[in-house]
Amino acid sequence: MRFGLSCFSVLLLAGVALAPLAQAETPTYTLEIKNHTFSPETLTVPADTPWTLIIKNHDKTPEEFESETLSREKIIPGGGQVRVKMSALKPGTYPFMGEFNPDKAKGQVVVK
Amino acid sequence: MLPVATIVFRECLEIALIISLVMAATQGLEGRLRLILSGLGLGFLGAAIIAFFTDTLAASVEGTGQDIFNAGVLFVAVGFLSWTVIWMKHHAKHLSHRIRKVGSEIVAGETSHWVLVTIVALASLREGAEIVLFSYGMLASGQVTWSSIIMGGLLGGVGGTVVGVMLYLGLLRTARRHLFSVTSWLLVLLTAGMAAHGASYLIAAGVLPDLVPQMWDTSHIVSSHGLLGEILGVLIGYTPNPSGMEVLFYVTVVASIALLMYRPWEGKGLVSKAKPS
Repeated sequence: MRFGLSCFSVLLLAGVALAPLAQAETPTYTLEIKNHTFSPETLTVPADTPWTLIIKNHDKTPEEFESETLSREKIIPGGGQVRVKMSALKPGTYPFMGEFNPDKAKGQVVVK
Repeated sequence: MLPVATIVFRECLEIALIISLVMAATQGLEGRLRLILSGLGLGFLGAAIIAFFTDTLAASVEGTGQDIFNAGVLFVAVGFLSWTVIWMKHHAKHLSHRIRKVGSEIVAGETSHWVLVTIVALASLREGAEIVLFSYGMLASGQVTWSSIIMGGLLGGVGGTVVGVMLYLGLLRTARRHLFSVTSWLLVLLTAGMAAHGASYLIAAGVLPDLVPQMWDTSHIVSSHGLLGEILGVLIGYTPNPSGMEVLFYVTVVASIALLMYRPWEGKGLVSKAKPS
């Protein structure tokens, strides 16, 4: 247990130490949620560059941004705003959806 | 009603699978059902509180507070689960040759009760909060009525529980002879999956680097949205496209727990004697 814990601590410390690296200025893109739909529905981002996604929810109800291909899941409270760090991606199309309103809230990230 | 049922099913599945593994591992522990129910009660209470404060939580740490909080919950659960598995194994080792027949049952019976309560509470905390948030959203936007929320919730809850009970009974039946080691190892993989999941939250928060954006992609074989993907996701931490950091966490946790379970530095003779029967 103690050994395991120290392993975690070392990993965590390493992570915190490396955090400034990961935090280095990255291009930022914004998605807005209105009436349970995303705007823009297609977000174009550059390939092989880490980037940051800001999601603003203008609805009164919470939404969950979810994408299997982007491997991200994030709840945005009603009227709230969240930030998600995204990995460098290969060119392609990465669909995402709002899990709480899967019929209406759909979109895609196009990596070029 | 159906979307509610689907969401509740997905979240309950995770709670139910964790509980069924813990139940299988604690065969013979007196009053464990009461302990597990207490854990569930505490977990859902915590979930309601978290859901209530979700605005504050999500907005904190520049919009990454929720990820950091989720990672924290997962890492605490990882700590408790690792401790339990290692403790069980270690005590089985000392007891097994004395009381070989009932070894694992007695060992499990000695596990601290509050550890069990905590594990269950932590498992239901995150998922419970999501159920509450989702139901609230559906109600607030006038998409559904209270009755359909309750019906959907019941349907999903029962569905999730059925899968959990099936796993529990399946484990008891097929792994009867090696129940102790099989459940121990399943718990190790579950724990490692939780650690990797925690790492993925920290990556999304920008606290940890991903090291490699994507190690592999098996989403075309087993999607994480299908039932199989969901179950594997909880049981062994399956993700179709993990990053390098997630794999590193997974491997590190499996290796550390295995080391502490088998303790190769304590000599080979002892370890072979200690094999649970």
